[in-house]
Amino acid sequence: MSLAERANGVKELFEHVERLWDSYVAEVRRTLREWERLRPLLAERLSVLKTRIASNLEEIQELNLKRELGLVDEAKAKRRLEELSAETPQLMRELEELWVLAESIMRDSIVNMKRAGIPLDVSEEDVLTKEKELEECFRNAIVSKEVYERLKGILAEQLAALKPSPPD
Amino acid sequence: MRHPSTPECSCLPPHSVEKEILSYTLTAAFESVMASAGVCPGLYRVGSRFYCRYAKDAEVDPAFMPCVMDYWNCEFYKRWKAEEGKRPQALEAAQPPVVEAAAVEVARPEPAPTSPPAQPSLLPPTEDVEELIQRAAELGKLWESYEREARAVIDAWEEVRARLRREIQSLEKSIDAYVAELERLEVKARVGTISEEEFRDLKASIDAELAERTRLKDELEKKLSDLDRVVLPHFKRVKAAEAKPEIAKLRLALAKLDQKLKSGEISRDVYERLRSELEDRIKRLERIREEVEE
Repeated sequence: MSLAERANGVKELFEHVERLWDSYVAEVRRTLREWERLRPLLAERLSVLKTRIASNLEEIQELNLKRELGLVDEAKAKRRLEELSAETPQLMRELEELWVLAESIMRDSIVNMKRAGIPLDVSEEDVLTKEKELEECFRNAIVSKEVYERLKGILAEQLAALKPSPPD
Repeated sequence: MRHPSTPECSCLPPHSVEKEILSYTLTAAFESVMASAGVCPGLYRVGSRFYCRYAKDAEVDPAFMPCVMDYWNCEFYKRWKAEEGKRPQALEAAQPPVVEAAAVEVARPEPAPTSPPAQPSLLPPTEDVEELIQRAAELGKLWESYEREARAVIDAWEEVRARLRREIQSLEKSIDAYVAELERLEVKARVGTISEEEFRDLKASIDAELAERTRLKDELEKKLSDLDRVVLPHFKRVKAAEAKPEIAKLRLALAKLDQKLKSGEISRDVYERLRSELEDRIKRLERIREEVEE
């Protein structure tokens, strides 16, 4: 094989890589568009679930207190507590599953946007705000310790991904 | 005017029954006086003639009949007395007006009249009173039944109301989340991270969700308001009677709640929420009490 032939081979490889890169960037953009469609739905559901769980937990606490103070009918309070005790764990499971998925996708989107050179729409400050919200949810028993630890890890990965890359 | 011996009962019309009972009470007293004087309580005089109410108001001549000092052996009196035991308690003392009988005197016999004068019926309107008593008793039963039903409705209302409020709260959160997403997308579109076309597309889908949630929220709020409007009058009616003891009970609960906070048994958040709820309930009951007292 002549030197020119070898040089053409390398040139084609670069062209192939370029096509792969273009394809990668196009795929990232397509995935981000899909993510943009899903994101409002997830954000809405997560917000509703957090509110509903918090309100159920408050109601359980208040009903027990009202029973002690003699402010509610015993049978009615028992029935309502049973309803709440059945509903709340289901809501918590749904919240935990969706929350972990949402933050994992967010981490992946940051990583791929950075790689593809697409401007980021998340700041470190946004992630810190999410951390605070997670802490509060854990304090109010809206998420379990296990899921709290998992989410904390994912948010830390988001923060790491947001840091500027070290110079080569 | 209410007779002091008449029990208070708002279910009964005030005048007719009272008047009759008052009249029976007075005539009973008069009859007792007359009987103690040895004159038959059934004897009465119209002008110069004497009549016996126990003999279907027939004219009598007391000089030849046992109306004075011996009336207890009179067949008419004895028959009346026997029937008297069968009458309701309230009517036992029923007697004709006092004025005529008060003028009874042991008078000389007069020549028999050709026919007795037309007399208004002096017998007590037993049927009317009995009917009223029955109607009042029926009203009592109806009230009990109403109160039972109203309480069931109020109980269900409180539950449904709480459920509606929870749904409204969720919808509000949902709307807030969509509004925040829309704002985020607007920023992205402004800085050029997403194309104008992408933004329009995403905005349209969020707007549709927002419109649906807002419509649902408005619908639930209207239902809640309709529900309150129809149930509140019953709530006021039923709760009015127990407002005072209920307020006292709630105040006691507030005091206990304060103690629980001081002893650290409950958090300040829980304390504040429950205190606010109890204070609202007290205010509502106080308003009802004031309305009733006015």
